[in-house]
Amino acid sequence: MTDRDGPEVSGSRPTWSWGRLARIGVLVALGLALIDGLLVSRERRVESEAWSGELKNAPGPAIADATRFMLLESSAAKRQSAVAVVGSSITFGPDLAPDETLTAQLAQSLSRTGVSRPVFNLAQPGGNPRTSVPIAAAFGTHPVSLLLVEVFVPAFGDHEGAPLPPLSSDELALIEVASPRQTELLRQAGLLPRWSERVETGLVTAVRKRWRLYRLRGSLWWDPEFTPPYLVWSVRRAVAEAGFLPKRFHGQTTNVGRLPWRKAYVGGERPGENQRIHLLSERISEPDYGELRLTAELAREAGVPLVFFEVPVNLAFQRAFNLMDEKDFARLDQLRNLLIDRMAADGLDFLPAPELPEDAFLDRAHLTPLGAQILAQHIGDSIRQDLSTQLDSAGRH
Amino acid sequence: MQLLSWSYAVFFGVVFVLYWLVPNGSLRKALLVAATLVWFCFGLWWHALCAVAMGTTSYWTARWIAARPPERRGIPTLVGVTIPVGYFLFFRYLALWSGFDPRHAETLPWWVPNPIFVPVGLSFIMFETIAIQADLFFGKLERPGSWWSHMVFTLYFPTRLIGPLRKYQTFVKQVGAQPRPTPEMMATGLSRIGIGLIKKVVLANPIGTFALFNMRPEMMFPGASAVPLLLGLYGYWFFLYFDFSGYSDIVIGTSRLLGIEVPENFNAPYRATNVSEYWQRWHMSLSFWVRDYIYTPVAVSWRRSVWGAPGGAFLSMVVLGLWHGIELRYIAFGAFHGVWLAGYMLYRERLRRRPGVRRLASTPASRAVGWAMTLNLAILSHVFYATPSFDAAVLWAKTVLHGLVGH
Repeated sequence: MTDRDGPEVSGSRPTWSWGRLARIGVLVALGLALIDGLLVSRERRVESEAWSGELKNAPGPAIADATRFMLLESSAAKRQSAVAVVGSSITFGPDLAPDETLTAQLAQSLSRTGVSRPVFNLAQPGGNPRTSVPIAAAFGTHPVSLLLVEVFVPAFGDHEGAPLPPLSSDELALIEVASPRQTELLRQAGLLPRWSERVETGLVTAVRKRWRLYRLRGSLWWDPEFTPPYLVWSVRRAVAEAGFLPKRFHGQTTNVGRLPWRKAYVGGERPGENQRIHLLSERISEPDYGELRLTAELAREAGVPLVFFEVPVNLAFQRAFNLMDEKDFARLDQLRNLLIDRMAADGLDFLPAPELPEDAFLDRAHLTPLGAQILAQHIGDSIRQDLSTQLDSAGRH
Repeated sequence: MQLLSWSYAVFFGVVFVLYWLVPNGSLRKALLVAATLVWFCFGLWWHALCAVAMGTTSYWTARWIAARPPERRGIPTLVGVTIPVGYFLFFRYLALWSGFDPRHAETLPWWVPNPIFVPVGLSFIMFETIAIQADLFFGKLERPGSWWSHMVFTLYFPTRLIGPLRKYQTFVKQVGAQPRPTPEMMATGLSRIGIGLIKKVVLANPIGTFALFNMRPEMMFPGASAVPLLLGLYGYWFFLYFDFSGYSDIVIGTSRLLGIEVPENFNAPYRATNVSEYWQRWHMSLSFWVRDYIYTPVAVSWRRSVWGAPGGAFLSMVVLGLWHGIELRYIAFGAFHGVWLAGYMLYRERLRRRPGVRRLASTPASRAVGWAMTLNLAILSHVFYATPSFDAAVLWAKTVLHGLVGH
């Protein structure tokens, strides 16, 4: 067997000198500078997509701070006209083309009726009730015209699963710019960064400001053109379109056909168990609701109007596959009523979801382009009046 | 402090400069110990105390073993091995066994440590300190060395998050042995860090995104296509390889910048042509630890039985699986590799002694078959890691089989 502890025996090693090392260091630095130069046009494109609601944040570890900081670091006048939307994958729209997402269609809907506003998609797949907290905190010193926060009722129920995850360093960087009164609220909630996290956050911010490749990493990541799997999916799509494989991929970014659920689940096929909505009781989960209330308090401190908009559960889907039993339906209904009452009692602005047709859903909650369009229209109709009033008021000033 | 963070880069930069400014070996040991204590404090300060306590108890038990004649070292060695295992079980599993529900902090008894805050590097310290005691018992290590040597070995921060597992006797003599940095040291260290970063950022991250997306439970339903699930699992293995070996490269590279060679962890595991070779190429520092401290003693004590060596191999693999967690899926992973390795050993001992079989086994065609079989079985066995439970792994297998053979 191999001797693991002995020094590695290699053949003739190149002769290294300090001068040679320095030359290589300079070449690497020049290469990185060149890449940053080449990314100038890319950054412009990303920015243009961000202001039209078409740019999505990246998933997983590379949550793109590009979009968030593009919003925060824009001019005050531009930022204060923007609508920021926070939520989970339902709002983010991983299955939709950029111009089909809820945010893009909301921007289009507002524009059609003469209230043209940039709409920022700050949602992220896997988003939870805590996702909106750092964003609302950042608006303390960098306010926008309106904050919309997704509410998926089952997420606030008594459910199994891990506790809410801690905030990432990108999210802590948002908290760093909170106003003093917001900072006090965050301190009471135990969400202020520790000293070591502040060190990392400071470094991340410094690097992000100076290095374009790092700043854009999230959006480069998400853009299918930049990911190796894109090639695999392109081949898969071609094969499917030639009829050799089924034209259906659940929840895939390059979904072949993006079929509504009735057309996707055919021939006795059933969704997986994770599509079931199961609540342990009708009680509201206090930790999750606490995050929602904290978001509202932070937004109030920032003077940013906040609307919680409901994204609907596809009950027909649950019934069709007997995923939920009668107890589940009753619990969900009770939970929704309790949540609405509680939010009303706390003075939180809640916009119930409209009735959506069956073709509006891909699965238990994710939306088809049609679903996103109807929901965007519904939200647009509700907020248009407020935004027009703001516009008039700004005009008078 | 994560390895891939800006704080770590700055912290290491400061340690690097100070390390080479300090003139002699003993002071460098003290510097590395102090640096590691600061590094621990970036997380939770009491983790530093735990590491110091583990290092100190290891030092005292090692001295106790060394003070005894070789034939009377059994009890101190047993104590020396039990203590780190006890630390490990106390911090990692006591909460689980006490019925703690992570969503409800109030279910944690006051005397039980929260498993969310398991001390950093706990399992690595356990393995490495056990190795010291065992090496003294088997006579591979003559003297336990000083308390400072134990501390620098136990605490050494670059290896605390991801390994690799080191040997005390090899490591300690390298600390401070180099009088000054050389261009070769810098070139090999920096290039190794660069390779690690490319593996992690450019390869592992996108492959991992793709793989984990395809291994989600919603992809597993009756009638689902097997193609994305298989691509997901194959992708997962490559993600794991690039991720883990990328991190290992960064650790090896940073250590080289300090003039210290730490063991390799991976050696192109995709080139293995049998399971024995696979484990000499995959997570090598752990598999060699298991070989040295579980397999070899068991195989030696069972040497009179035909099943001694295969039995030792099986047991070693089950322990290796259990190290990842006390869950059915990890036991299944270990048992799968145990049966495979034991079977291969029996084949090697029995069948390959026959000239005809040996000739056939050495042909390029049979080596190619061996390579394909090894790689595919190794990847398939990772279904137990890529899915969240044993049931989910079974569901994955059922869905794939269903997808491949039709309705």
